[in-house]
Amino acid sequence: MIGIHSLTKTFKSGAHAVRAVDQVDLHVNEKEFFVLLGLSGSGKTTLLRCVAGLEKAEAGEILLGEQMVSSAERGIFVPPEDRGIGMVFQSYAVWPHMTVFDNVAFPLTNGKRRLARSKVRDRVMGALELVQLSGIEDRPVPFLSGGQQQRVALARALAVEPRVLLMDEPLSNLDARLREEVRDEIRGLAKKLGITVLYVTHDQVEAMALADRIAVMSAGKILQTGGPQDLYHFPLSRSVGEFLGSMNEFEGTVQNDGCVKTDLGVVHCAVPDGAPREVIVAIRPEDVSLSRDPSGLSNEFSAQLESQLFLGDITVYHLSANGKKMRGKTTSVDRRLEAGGRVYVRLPAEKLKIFTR
Amino acid sequence: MKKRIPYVDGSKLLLLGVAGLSALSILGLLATVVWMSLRTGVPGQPFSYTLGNYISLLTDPYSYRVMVTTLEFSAVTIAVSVPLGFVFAWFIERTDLPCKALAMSLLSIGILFPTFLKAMGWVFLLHPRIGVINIFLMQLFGLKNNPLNIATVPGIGFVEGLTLAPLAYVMISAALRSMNPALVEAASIHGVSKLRTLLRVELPLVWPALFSAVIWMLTVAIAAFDVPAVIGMANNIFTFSTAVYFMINPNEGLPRYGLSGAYGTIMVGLSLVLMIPYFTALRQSHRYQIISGKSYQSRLVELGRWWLLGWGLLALYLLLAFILPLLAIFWVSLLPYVQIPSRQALSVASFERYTAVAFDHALLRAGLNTLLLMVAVPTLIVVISSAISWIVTRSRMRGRVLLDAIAFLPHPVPHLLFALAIAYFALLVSDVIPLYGTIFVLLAVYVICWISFGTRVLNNSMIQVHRELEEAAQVGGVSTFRILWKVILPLIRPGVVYAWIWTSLSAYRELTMAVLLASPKSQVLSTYIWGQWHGGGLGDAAAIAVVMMAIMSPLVASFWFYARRQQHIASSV
Ligand SMILES: Nc1ncnc2c1ncn2[C@@H]1O[C@H](COP(=O)(O)OP(=O)(O)O)[C@@H](O)[C@H]1O
Ligand SMILES: [Mg+2]
Repeated sequence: MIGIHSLTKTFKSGAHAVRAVDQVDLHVNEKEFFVLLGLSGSGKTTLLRCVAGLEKAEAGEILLGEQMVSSAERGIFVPPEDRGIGMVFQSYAVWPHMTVFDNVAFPLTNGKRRLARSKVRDRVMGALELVQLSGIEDRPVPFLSGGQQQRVALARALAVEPRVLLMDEPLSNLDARLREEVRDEIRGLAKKLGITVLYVTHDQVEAMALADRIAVMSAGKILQTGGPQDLYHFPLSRSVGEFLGSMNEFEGTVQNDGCVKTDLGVVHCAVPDGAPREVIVAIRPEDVSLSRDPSGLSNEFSAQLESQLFLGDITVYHLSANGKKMRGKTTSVDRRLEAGGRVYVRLPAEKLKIFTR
Repeated sequence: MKKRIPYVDGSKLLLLGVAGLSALSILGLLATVVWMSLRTGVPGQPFSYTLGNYISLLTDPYSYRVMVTTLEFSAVTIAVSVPLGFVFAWFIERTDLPCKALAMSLLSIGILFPTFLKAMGWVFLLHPRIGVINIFLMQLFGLKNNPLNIATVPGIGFVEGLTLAPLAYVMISAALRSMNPALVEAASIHGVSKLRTLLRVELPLVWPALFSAVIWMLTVAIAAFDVPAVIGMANNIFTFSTAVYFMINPNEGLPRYGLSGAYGTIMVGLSLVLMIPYFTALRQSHRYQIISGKSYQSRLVELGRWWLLGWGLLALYLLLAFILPLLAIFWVSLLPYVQIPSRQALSVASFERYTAVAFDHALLRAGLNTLLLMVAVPTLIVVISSAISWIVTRSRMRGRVLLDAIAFLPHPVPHLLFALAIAYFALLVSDVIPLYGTIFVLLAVYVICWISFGTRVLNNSMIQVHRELEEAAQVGGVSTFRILWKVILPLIRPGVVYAWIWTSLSAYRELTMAVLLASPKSQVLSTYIWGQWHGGGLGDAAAIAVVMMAIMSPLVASFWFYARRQQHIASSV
């Protein structure tokens, strides 16, 4: 549905230039919910704005469906209004001098593809119903809560019945509780309507909750693309792994027998072919298993339990093994474990990730 | 598939056209000033190119006298206006002076009343022969000669300085307000006394702002016409501006366009050169400003009983700059001839002039012309400035910075010269287009000169509208023109209304440009009063002036209503 080929966009301000999008290749399938995930400044917004036609890339191509909407090489640039997109902005961008109804109706009555007057009302009310705003269509938007304004922006984007819906951190201005609620609504709505969504966020939990597939961006480049589980469990690089959740990391050296020698001791794991000798062995805290007595399985090390942190749904353990700090995380509390006591940590081989240093 | 077809948005072209045409007009008129300085004779007649105008300018001792007069006049103007402005700014921004809002209102409203009326008032007060105060002092002390004389270069500079003090106040208070108060507080924490802090910390910090105010006052003084014309010309005191006017309207002989062009070219050059130190100082002062947080309020100096001094100074200023001259005008308008207030004078006072004035057809026409300008000029300015400001602040078109700079040009360059250029141009084409002497010439030059003001205000407003509000409409397929009309302009309505009212008031009070361009059929109120004044009808001029101010007051009040909500006063400089 969306095809992006070696897209590059540079901002020049005075003498220095920032390559905000750097040779990006991306493919989003029809009806897919696709999330761009990355730290602030990694170029997500710029990429999204290129797809919208609000920025003009200096190299590369963008296809929407069958239509080539941007090709620097061939001199094609289709303006935003002809791309058949809907967009939800980070600041909501609802027009404060209009009512809820007028906000949603404005593109339909003043835009390029106008609807007949009789149809506008139905379309607007339909969109407002989708986002559960029926009944307040005559209110001026400045009197609405943040969440409601966000819904108006969503209704406005949906009312034009776009081929593609673009969203730039639409939840970042909402408080935490509301964020989860609206997040789930957005996903439900996208699936119900069957539209293609390209969604930008810096929040990995949000990304995983929403996405069919995620692309992790950094410094203008895409590091890895895949489903949330793929990315979480099988990150190709240390930075992707770290970005999606915390990890315990140990520097190590691959030995001839395929094991890795670390500060912790020798770790058995499946080192991929072609890995260099100097590696980092990583494991997510929830994959670390913890027991008071040794189990006799491999990759088990004796450790000191320094402290434990009860967070309600989970408990976090701070450990130190062979002078290396590490963390464990579990949903079941073993009441016999005591801070300062000796425990055994096990790093299951299938959960270990090997990265180059 | 589309191939290499550049995308053109029709409404963008329209905006570009409006903006481009205005920029060309500004540049064209400036070029005309230079061009006319290189030609001989009167426009429309055979001519040749020459440097003669410059040669006669440089060899005539009169030019040097004009230059010295202008400098002396400017120096006195600055010496009066900047200290006053600083004192008021300090009291209002840095102390706990009571009723600050009122003080600010009183100062700013003063800017709006026609300068030439205040100058007339001062003639009635301090003229060597007819000045009420002079007569009073002579009678009181039995003097033979008048003790005071306003018709001197320092006298003119003094009056100009009084009228410009609010402008200086606005410029300096903006700097004081945005200065980082922590810098001053650091000094007071270490036990430095208030006076020392003021002199050693605060003053050096506001010095760049103060300096830029001085430069700006200098350009305003060089351009000033009203006061030197009303008080000086009859007494053979000429500054650059009045000299240029006098060359075009000599008592005898032909207008000397070439020579006035040479003067004009020098004035244009001077005002543009002065912009270099002006902007350098301004940039320096921005560096001392707080970057973030409007909420960072500095602790105010507690005045105690000294608030009396602050308000006393303010009251004295208002008395001199405003109340006394206007009272003098009112007083004169009631009398058959100028005399000092006494029981005997009161017995002959009457409203006779007002009834006579009320049935004057020429005056009625002047009033209607003024009204036309007051509606058409601001409307056109708002339209044109919207186009320019949109391009400058919202688009990414190449050359938008240049466009902004061109739109700014009429700000420092004396407006008299734009009027001179357009008069020359209208004369040149008078066979083809009979523009010369019509109200439309006034209309055109007002609009061209005040685009700079309109764009300053609208740039400021538009930059505050979040970019995404516009992009949301763009993605929805709304054309640029409709976005401007239905999204941006409604959002910046206070700024638009402010710009409209201010330029409308300016059109009402404008004399400088009108006096050069008005013909008998295109008189406006200000030129009509000017005509009466120069024809010797001082009393009639005073009566019309009183009526003019009475009409003006509600307009000023409405302006103030918007300006306060907008806190926009600062951009009116
Ligand atoms: N209009 C612009 N002008 C100059 N630099 C920009 C502009 N927009 C973005 N950038 C730069 O491009 C980089 C990527 O920005 P952005 O796409 O906004 O990142 P993200 O949305 O991931 O936070 C940043 O370094 C930013 O400073
Ligand atoms: Mg962003």
